[in-house]
Amino acid sequence: MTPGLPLYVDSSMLSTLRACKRKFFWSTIHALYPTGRSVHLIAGAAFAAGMEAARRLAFTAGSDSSHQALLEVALPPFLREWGDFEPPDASPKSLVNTFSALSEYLELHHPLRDVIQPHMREDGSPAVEFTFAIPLVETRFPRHPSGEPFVFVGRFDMLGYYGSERLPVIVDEKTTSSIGYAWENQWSLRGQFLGYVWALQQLGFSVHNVAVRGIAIQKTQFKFATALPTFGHHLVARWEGQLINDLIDITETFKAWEPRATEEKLVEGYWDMNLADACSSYGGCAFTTLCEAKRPQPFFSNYIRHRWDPLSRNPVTELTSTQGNGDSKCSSCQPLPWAPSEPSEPSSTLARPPPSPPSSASETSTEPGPEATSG
Amino acid sequence: MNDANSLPGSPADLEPPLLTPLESPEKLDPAALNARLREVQVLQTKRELEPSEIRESITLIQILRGTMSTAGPKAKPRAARKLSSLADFEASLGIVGGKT
Repeated sequence: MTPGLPLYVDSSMLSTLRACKRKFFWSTIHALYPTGRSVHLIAGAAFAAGMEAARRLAFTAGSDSSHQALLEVALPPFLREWGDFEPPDASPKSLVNTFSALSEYLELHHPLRDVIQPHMREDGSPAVEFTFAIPLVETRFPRHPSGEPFVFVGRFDMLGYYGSERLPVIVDEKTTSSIGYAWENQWSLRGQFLGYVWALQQLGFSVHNVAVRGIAIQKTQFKFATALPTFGHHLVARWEGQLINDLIDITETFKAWEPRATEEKLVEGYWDMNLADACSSYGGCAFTTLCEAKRPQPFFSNYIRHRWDPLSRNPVTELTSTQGNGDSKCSSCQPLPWAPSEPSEPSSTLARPPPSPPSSASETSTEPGPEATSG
Repeated sequence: MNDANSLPGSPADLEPPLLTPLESPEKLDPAALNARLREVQVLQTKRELEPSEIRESITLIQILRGTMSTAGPKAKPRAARKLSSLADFEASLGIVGGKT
């Protein structure tokens, strides 16, 4: 395995970098991922796949859009994402619970009656599972060490319009274990959403809002909530400034580190450690074993090599196990640059941007507040 | 795809057959329902589900969810103890002979 720096960058990688550069080194440069599949990723991907199918059916002219019909079209893609996975017994995100939550969510937010209606593509299909790739070609962005531009990529659930004023919104559904009193307040500086808004603005969309829909899957009940944070121009500009800072940081660190690294020596010291909350929050960082070890390489066998595909619902694609010699070379394990046909122009899953929304809607920050719901 | 050792039409080429529909899934216990759902889960990894299998799976999920949507057996209310004297009251608080 030759460690490397991918050409693509997404909000997950940036979030990891900001939390801990050493974690970025393990997860992105070395493409390591903890063994064992994540119930959160699988349940989230299955839910999204089912929702996508239900939405597509609902907006197919002449189709039966009854709740039962939506469930019947949602189940196969849901099961395909779920595969033969068996979640831990203690997890409330079982197959039964997650699909039941989807069923209840479809009752609460039936695609045809929901307060958020999708943007429709020219071919008449709803703008669901929206993906984008923005090559960072302007001179203000640093280049990848190869000389190529970085490509900022992402994927979200739907582009739509909120309410009767048709406020353009990015819709992102998040399965979670709980929705507490502060749930709605946690999104106002979320880099993931700022990045989506920035990307859509690069593509010509006048979007400032994200509708975050929480789906809390618990053992005996489900809870639902919607937050509608607004991201003004100044925040989006700050996000871009931070992106530039982060890319400079990544490339400078990589350039300093790469010539000194060998198979025997990781010289991981170039990548700063957090040594604080990032090591222990959310149940503990998955890479503490490597950070604590005198020689981390032998512990690589605790991880799989992965290719992070940020445009997939479940972005972790296993390339190979690292069983055995953690130092082994494996050229196919290289995190592949995400470059479908070498994008030189910004691209998205829409053929062209939608018409600009009403100016009153695009500039407003006083739209209806979060739609609080509970199940 | 056949390799050199398998003939077209050999068992390896056959898709898993249609599941025999359950007669009365609502009468099955959760373990049997879960086992059936697991069967469907594995089947989905081998071939596309048929509409009847999809509908049955949704029914199974709804039945299973119904068994989970209550918080389980409710705790029995603690039997009220009849306190007939101060000594009984103190004893109920763990106070014996005026001392804890």
